[in-house]
Amino acid sequence: MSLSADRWRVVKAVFAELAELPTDLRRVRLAEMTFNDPELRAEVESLLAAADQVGERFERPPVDLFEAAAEPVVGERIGPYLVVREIGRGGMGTVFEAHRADDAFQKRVALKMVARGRDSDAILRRFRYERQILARLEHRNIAALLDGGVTAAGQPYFVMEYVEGQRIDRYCADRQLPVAERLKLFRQICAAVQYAHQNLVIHRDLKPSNVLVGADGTVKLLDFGIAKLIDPEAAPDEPLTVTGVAPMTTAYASPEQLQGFPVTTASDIYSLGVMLYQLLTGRLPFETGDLPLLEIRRRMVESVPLPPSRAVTTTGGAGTDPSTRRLQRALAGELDNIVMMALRKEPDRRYTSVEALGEDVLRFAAGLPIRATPDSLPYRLGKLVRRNRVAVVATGVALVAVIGGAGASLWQARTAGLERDRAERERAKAEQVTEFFRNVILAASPTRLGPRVTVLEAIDATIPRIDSAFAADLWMRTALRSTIGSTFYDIGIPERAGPLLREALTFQERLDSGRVTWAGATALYNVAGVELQFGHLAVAESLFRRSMAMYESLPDRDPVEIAKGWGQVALVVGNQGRTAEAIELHHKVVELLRQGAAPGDRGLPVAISNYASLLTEAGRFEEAEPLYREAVTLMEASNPRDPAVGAFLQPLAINLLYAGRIAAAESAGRRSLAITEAALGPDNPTTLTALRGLLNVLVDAGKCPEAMPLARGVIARRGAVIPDSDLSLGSAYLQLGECLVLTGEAASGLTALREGARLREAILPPDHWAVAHARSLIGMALVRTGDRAGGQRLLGEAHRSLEAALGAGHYRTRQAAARLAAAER
Amino acid sequence: MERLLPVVYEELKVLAASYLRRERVDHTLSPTGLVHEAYLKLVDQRSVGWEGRSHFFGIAAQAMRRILVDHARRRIAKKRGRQFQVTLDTAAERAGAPPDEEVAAVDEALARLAALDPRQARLVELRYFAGLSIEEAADVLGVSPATVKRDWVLARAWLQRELRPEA
Repeated sequence: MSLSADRWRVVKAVFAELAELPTDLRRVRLAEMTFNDPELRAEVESLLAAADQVGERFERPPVDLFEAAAEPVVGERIGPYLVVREIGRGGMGTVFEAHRADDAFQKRVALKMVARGRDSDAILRRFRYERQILARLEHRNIAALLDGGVTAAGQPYFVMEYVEGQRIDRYCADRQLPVAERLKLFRQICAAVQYAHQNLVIHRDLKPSNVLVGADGTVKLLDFGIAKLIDPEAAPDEPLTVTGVAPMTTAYASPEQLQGFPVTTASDIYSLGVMLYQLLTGRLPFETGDLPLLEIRRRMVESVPLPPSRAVTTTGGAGTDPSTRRLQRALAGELDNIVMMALRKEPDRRYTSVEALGEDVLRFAAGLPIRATPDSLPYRLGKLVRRNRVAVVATGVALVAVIGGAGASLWQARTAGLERDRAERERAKAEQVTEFFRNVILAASPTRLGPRVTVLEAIDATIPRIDSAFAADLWMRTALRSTIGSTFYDIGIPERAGPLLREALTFQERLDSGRVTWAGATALYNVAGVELQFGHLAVAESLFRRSMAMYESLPDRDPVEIAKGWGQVALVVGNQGRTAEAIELHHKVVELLRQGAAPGDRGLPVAISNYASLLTEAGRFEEAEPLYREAVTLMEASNPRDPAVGAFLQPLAINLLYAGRIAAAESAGRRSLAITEAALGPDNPTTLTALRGLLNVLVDAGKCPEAMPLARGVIARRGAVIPDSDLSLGSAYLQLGECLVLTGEAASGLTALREGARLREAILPPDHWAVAHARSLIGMALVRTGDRAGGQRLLGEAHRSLEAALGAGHYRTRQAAARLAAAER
Repeated sequence: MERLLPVVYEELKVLAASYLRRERVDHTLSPTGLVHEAYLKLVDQRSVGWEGRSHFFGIAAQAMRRILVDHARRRIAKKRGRQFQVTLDTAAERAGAPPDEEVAAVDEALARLAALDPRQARLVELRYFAGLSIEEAADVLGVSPATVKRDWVLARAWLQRELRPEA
């Protein structure tokens, strides 16, 4: 290594910043910060990869140096067990053959010592907790977990049924088993995993070294539940969904595991898919080779592997099978589809259960039609855009997610087994799109305004080039507009998204020529989203409804996705002040999602929070609060720093404020702002919404000295950063104005309030309560500037409107009443 | 400071040896324990002028490093020639290096790290060899615990990379 100390300081600085970021943001920031300096990038990348790998290593001093007995040796006792010999060792620990010292029959067991440096107490506590669940797992294909404990030196160990057998991959390779035999073995694995899932146990570390085949051909799965026992992150009270990536093996880990998202039964399905892939082709879907871990993970999260039938042509395939062509024929089509369905990136698009996977394998073996279907590009693209659209209302999504996501969907098209010519056509297109985006990113110059702006600017600059680059290809022009437009939308720049998405819609209509397509429905949906952002609520509603009607008439509609779409309709209805109707819709959406949404689906907490917001609006604070908390908890389970957590805390803060619990409201408001700002930056609409919530609380808590500079900060960014259509802008004027009036500067306060009211009236319907609230504030200011009569009139009107919209008992109505009373004194 | 090192070294060695002679079954011994015990003994004697606890810890960490590394090297030498073990897991997996080899490798890697970033190398000494807490290490290095935490993440990543398990 040829690093100098000066150079090391740079490495250190870049590393320090990136290490704090969530994995998905790291890559962009890294690319930006090390632009044109591949050496620096490689250095930081390898250190980040090492940081991911290091786990607890080096955290503790090498204690065992002084303990000759750190590693048990043959003939030694561990608890009640007598160690017979070492069987093997790996990252997680060492495995020994042993038997109970007090057992006359000397029943053999496998004793697994957990590697040092892990928290023995926590592991043991967890073991005791989980023991009953794990002890329930009695299945002929599962090696039973018998016991567990801690050695005198404080090292945890587990005792399992001793299994005599060979690793499944070697078993297959050594015997050169034909495909049918391999599938039979695989179905035994499925049976075991399915049984465990039914007992609420996820394996989380499925891989060939955990699957042994006995001489009689019986498969035994090892280490059930162990991964979770040892994972310090796993919550003990969540049997089905746990986060944490600690002990799994990268090559078999699902994308959600690699990204630290919740691990569910779908993660086991993915790992089973990897194993099936390996059993059929003799290689892994993602060859790790010499690539840095970060790069391997990136590929595993973003790109789609070659289908098994294609993978065998590049290697020998299935070990040493001489007739590769025959094997290829056996794999092509249905087996490809089965494997690729298990390996889908989105957990909810894989097989719904291990049972379904096992059944498809069985159907294939029996010559029956299988259930797995290939992915198609328009479907994928539509899904992608739409899902992001649904999520964005509450969160805002980073640039990479979309570009990376588009890359993934296009790759998928490349491998999808559609009709030959269509697949060919789409593959070519996918390559063109990929190439196009690559050029865009490469063209980005680091010397411009700043790293983040640079990429956006670069993309912006390429928009005019779309039409000349693809003059003869309307499909491409549409797809690129749609992708770039959604990117701008997702990062909170609806002004740039709007024209692109509108054009995409126009073009899509030409492509569809009257047919109802997924892409067409999605294009409509996207434009509806833009209209919503601009505050054109009625237009947005009608577009959303048209789009939903199209989705619902499609043959391969997905009820969960459709429910999420209706969630948008409910939002728009609510924003137009039709509260009762919106509550009804939200309630239905939440019910549908509670039934259908996969664990970890962000759509559910988003819907719950939206529902709760409407309840707040209706003054049903008691009902709303637990819903917010549920949404926050659901989201925190996957990532406590997710901006959505902050986004859900904002309405909670308002709800608490309205319920009169100012202190709790303030703390929720502050947390909301801290989380969103850290994740999204200060200018993001979601951050601004969080700030708006906090300001509301601060003003009402009488903390004007703190609130005023914050409000002024928002106003200062009007125009360039914050459009007039952003509700937060009008609110900032109102909050500043109210504070000015309260601190004795009624005249300038009145000016600010009028501007705030004007901005609000431009977005909201005239009878909306928030407009009345603004007028009530103006009335108060008028009275204080000496226009007593005018002020009282306005206060009276505003109070009546609020009473009509929210009821007499609502916090805002009571506030207005108090203002009116004060003015009449 | 160098003047004090031999004194601390001898004291720690004596302590370590006395532990090694004891019945090992019910004793878990940590370098942290040793360092604190040595501190109590030496400070009690008042034979040397200490500039406070932090000063002592800094020196003790160096001494612990020497003791632990010597000890590991001797055991590695003894082990040579014994049968080698089979690895069960795939190569893609992280292989845990046996402690003796790891200690020796950390020692060698530290020499390289010291050339790049002396503070980080000392931090490894304090945390890994002497088992000091983040706060204690911050005291010794005269920086904030937050800085130590940041440095420690990078130092461990660096070690992980440098000590990549041999294929």
